[in-house]
Amino acid sequence: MTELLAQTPPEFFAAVRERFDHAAARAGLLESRFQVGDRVVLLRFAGAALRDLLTPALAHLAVPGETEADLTVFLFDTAATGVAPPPPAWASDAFRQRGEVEGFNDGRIRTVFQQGSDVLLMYDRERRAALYWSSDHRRIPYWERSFPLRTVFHWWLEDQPMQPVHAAAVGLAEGGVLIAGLSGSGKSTTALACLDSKLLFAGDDYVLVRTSPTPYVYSLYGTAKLEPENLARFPLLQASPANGDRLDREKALLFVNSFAPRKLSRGFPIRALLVPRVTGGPDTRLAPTTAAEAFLALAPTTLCHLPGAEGAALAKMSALVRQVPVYALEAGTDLAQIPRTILGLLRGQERR
Amino acid sequence: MEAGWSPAAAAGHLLDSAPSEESREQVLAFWAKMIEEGLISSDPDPQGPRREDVPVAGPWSPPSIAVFSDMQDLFLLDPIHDVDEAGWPSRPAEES
Repeated sequence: MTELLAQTPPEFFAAVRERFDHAAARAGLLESRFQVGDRVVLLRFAGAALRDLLTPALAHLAVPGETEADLTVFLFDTAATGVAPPPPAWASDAFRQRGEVEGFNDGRIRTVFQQGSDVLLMYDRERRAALYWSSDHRRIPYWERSFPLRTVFHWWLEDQPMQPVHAAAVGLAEGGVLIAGLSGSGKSTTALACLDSKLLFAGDDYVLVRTSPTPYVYSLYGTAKLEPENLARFPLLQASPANGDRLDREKALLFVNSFAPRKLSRGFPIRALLVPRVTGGPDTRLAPTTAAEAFLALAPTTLCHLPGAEGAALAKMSALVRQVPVYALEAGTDLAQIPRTILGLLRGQERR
Repeated sequence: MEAGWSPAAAAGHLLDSAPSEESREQVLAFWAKMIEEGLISSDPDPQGPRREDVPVAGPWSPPSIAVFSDMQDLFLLDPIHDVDEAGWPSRPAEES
């Protein structure tokens, strides 16, 4: 059979979308709705395989039934449905940094072949619709399960005062802190240390921040990832990794829903931004830092994960660090001091 | 649309705010390093960050380059060389 190649980005999007319909007709259409920020996202799956992999991270954001959605994502994989997308409509040398496909990113359509997970992602801004295709759901890496669709959310919210950022967030219903830093900076340790306190957990790796009218953080994923050697520091978590048989090659993947569902928060106002520093000493304390340092802890690492819309994302992150107090969190080895220090900061702000 | 934040304007801004001759030399060395690393070009990018989008640090501090290498292993993957029969990039199957 000869198949005509779709030439333009909207044509190619439509061709993949049509293949999704075939896949859903074969494997069964399954729908899940989630509250993302202040709006609803509808995920339409062809069969259960991808749904079972990708929705546990979002389970705490599930909304019932027929709520009208602002974004619809169509997800299928070939192994579970027997349906493949059309061949790529671009040359094999069209891939750019972060998997962006040259010639298939414009004002309307965005296209990435996500490196590392081998997932095709496309977004149609005009129709507020996205596509997600994998050749085989069994080849999707564990980390993709910890923050599914973060790039789609990034594209979708480009023209809103909201931005997915590489940061953790913990707090109380009335306000909390954003914790920004590179992988290995102590971000996850800080967030997980707070599970054994009054502080609620909104995310460990990627959260959604709103910059206007007031700074606010929404939870995106009820997951955490931790270096296996750090698990020993958290007795509560030792039996919890979803990938316990693969810790020789993967970080421990934790679904907070599975062991501390009441600690999950859907979001809170941002009262401060913390930049963690691991000191090696026992004690934890706050130290002064600058908006520029906070910006450097937040922006480059976020931009290096999220392709496209860099200018808008940069402006939103810059607006955020100008609006909230920033501190270095000199995190010590006595984990109980970490939530106490953050609670002290939040309560001190209340008194002022 | 506003003009992008051109390297020349940025260099001028940094040089103007440098408090001493030594600071000016630090700025020039930094700019030379940026050019050497291929991090800046001479054409302002109209889609790029605007000057006012970059926070002002407050007191003078010498400019420096930070290297962000987390997830570097993923960026080093080359999706071009391994493709399936339809032409989609494909990693070799993981050894178990």
